[in-house]
Amino acid sequence: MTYESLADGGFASGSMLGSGGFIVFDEDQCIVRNTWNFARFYAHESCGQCSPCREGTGWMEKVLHRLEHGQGNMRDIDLLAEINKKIEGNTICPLGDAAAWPVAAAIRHFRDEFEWHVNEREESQKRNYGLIREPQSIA
Amino acid sequence: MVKVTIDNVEVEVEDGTTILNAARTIGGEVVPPAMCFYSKLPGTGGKCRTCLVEVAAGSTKDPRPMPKLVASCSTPVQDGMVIKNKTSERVHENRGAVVEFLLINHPLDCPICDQAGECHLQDLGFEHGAEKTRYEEERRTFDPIDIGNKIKLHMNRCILCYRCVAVANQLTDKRVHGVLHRGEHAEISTYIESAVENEFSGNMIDVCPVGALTDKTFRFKSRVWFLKPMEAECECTKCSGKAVVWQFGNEIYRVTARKDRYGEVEDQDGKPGWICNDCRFEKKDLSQWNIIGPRTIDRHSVISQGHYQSPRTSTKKLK
Repeated sequence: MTYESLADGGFASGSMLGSGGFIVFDEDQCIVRNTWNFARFYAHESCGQCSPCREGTGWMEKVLHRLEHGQGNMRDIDLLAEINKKIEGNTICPLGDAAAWPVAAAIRHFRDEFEWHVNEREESQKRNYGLIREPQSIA
Repeated sequence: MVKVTIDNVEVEVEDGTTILNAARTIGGEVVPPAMCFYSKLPGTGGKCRTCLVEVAAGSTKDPRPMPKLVASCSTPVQDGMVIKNKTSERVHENRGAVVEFLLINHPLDCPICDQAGECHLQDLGFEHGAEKTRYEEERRTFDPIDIGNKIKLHMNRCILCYRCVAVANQLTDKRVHGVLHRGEHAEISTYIESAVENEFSGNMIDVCPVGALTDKTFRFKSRVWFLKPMEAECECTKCSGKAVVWQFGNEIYRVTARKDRYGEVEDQDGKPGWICNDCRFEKKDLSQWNIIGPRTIDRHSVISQGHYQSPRTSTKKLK
């Protein structure tokens, strides 16, 4: 992966490098929790001038908070996908787009983890990583 | 002069006109709604995103379409531009989305709101809003603050259009209120609780598209659609003295500036007809005003359904 290979705006590869920085997660990381973390960051950073970003980032943060804390519904996942489609491209500055894309990508690639958080509410609260798997011994 | 096409209607406007103003020269249904843009206040617009339109062709020179929807209030036209507003499905969809965003934290207390009946958000919600909200969380609320004995600030209803800030910047010599905090917590406030006192501060009420800033002298007195709007004049040294008095019988319930169909103050003698606080709040007696005649409220909201219309427009409607 090089910067140039993704420099076409992500149209061919379906991804982008943005500012060039990236975070590597191992497979134990909870996608819902991390997506919530991104959403919380953008909700905090939104300046509050234009309405889609001001209201939308806060809304996404609240829905993701609910999902992550075992109070979500199946329709919340579709709702999230729809909210980010409606923020994207409608804001003054690219912060709205940047807030919408990680959530969209998380749902597109890891929808099963979101569904697991809804179906296995208690379990998802006990172990805070996504997919059902036997806990591995460290030794 | 440049030629633009808006919803298949061709119009010739001056170079540098915004798409919204070009659409307003056509009038009617092709005009995008605007919650934050106010043509009499330079520097407003671009924030609410309700006026988004689709540009199907950028110009004659470069006929490529613009990838994103653009805010029509702050995008200047170019020669040969093709704009889609009513005819675009994408615009309709995204405008509905913006209305949903504006409404998720709105208290929807229209039954007790003084702005009901002349509220732009009501009109917008009626045209583009959904039947039901999908917002399950608690709505955002703010602690009430007192900004003086004439104007009531109801921050929960605010949609942060920044119009009142522009009024304070451009009409008054000293601005004491503004937007505090950011993101979801942004609010109109006076920082240190001080009263907004200025001869022209009352115009904040006129420019507010929702019921966030209302007239304390009219608060809970009546509903706007029960009142009879009359054009009136008075001798005032501070302002043009040309206003609309809203009567109930022979009593004047409130005084506002003369507003056009877009809710903007009309020009009086070549200048925007802002009225001063004396005319707005103090002159509540018929003897102080010289009544000219009934005022037509040319808006699609409920007050335009009132019975008091000038003969000119009523005959037009009969035909």
